[in-house]
Amino acid sequence: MKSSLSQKGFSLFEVMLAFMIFAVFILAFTMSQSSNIRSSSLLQEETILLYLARKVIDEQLINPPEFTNALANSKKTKSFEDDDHTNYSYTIEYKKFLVPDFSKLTAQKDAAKQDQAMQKIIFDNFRDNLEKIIWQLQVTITNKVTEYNYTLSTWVVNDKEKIKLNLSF
Amino acid sequence: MTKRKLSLISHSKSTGGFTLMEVMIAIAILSFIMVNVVSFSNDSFSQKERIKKQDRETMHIETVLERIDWDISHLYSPLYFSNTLEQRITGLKGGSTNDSEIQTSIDESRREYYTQLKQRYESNSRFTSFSEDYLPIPEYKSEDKSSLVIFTSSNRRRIQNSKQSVYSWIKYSLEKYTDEEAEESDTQVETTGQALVRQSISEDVFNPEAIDFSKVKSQILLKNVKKLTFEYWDKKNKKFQSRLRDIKNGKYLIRAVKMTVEWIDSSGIELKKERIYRPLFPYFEPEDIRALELEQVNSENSGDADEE
Repeated sequence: MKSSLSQKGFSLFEVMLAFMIFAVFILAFTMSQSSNIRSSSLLQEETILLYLARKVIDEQLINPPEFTNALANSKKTKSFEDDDHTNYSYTIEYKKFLVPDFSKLTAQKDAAKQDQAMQKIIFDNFRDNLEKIIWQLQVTITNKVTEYNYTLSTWVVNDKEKIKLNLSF
Repeated sequence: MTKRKLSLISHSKSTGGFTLMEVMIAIAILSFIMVNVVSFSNDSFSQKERIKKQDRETMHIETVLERIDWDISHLYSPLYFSNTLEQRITGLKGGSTNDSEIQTSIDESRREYYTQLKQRYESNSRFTSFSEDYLPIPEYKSEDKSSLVIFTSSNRRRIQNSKQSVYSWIKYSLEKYTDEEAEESDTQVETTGQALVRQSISEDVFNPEAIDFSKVKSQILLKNVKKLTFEYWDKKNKKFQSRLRDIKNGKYLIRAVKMTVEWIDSSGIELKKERIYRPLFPYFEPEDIRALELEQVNSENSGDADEE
């Protein structure tokens, strides 16, 4: 700028504008920093949720409840009692393990065909036993304040049930 | 004000510059915004550093817990899939058994082998019993609440064809340590304290002599540990016991281990973690097999009579 002649500086408006642009850059930079921090605290939260979910699921696995029909589709929600985790609640859900029918799997309505009759009997035996022995367990941990939640599920074996075979025609 | 307006509208005519007032206002506004921006970015920087450190420590403790999980989930004992010889024969007879009864019930060709084995295992300090398939049963030891000696199949060989096997004896315990290179910056960190250590023996695991862990190099997993307890699942009483000998068959069969660890992190905060570890073997109760065999024997006997 050849200001010696015009003797002109920046106007206030120009300076403000320049500063605005500068501020936008600074803001963008610090925002990226804070998003790092946010994802880190989210990770911390997730670690706690996973830790609690594992704890509950392990307790269920080593000491499973009695597998009765009343247990199927039952849902139980409780809060943690220890001081560190009073903000968290857990939900334990049991469901039966269901296997689709043979006709659905083979996509044939007429399963009575001679060559498939044997397969159907074997399949039905498998299905009946599997449905009795295997149960599904789902544990959900919820932070009551932030409502973040984490779900962990597994299969539980009903060790009291015995395998029964019914191979009569 | 009129002057400023004038200067904005007609640059060419004005002879330039700001008034003192304008400059003052500009500086005031600028400094106000600057102070905010600087403090904001400063905060976020220091917080970032702190969180980076925290994340590292979270990672560390998770790795430690996973390491222990790997070892305990690979616990090995023949009792996870078979019975002891004594129990099997007791079950078949339906009463208590003495040694001569066991001898008569096994195959004649095996009798001498059985006597030999029995003598050998009696003087063995690592495997004190054997299963119905004559497999050695390791004895888990827990001298005090904070130590545990296990036999696991978690070891992985690093060099092919080396003498190491997948099996190893592992001891977890608390040990005193001293930091040789004391960190000057962190004054909060004590240089001496108790550490959670892991010792493992993966060579010559079937050696009958007692293991001397004092000669084994210990690997520090976690420093500044205040408290460490191992508890063992007692299936019969449905609770965790702090001593293996309180559980029936406890020194041979671990169903689940609950570990509680309390330690102080680098910023001086006391933390606590509790985790339950389960062996990978599917649930198997030797007594169930015993009952099943007894049932089979009975049904065979009654089946003979019922046969039409």
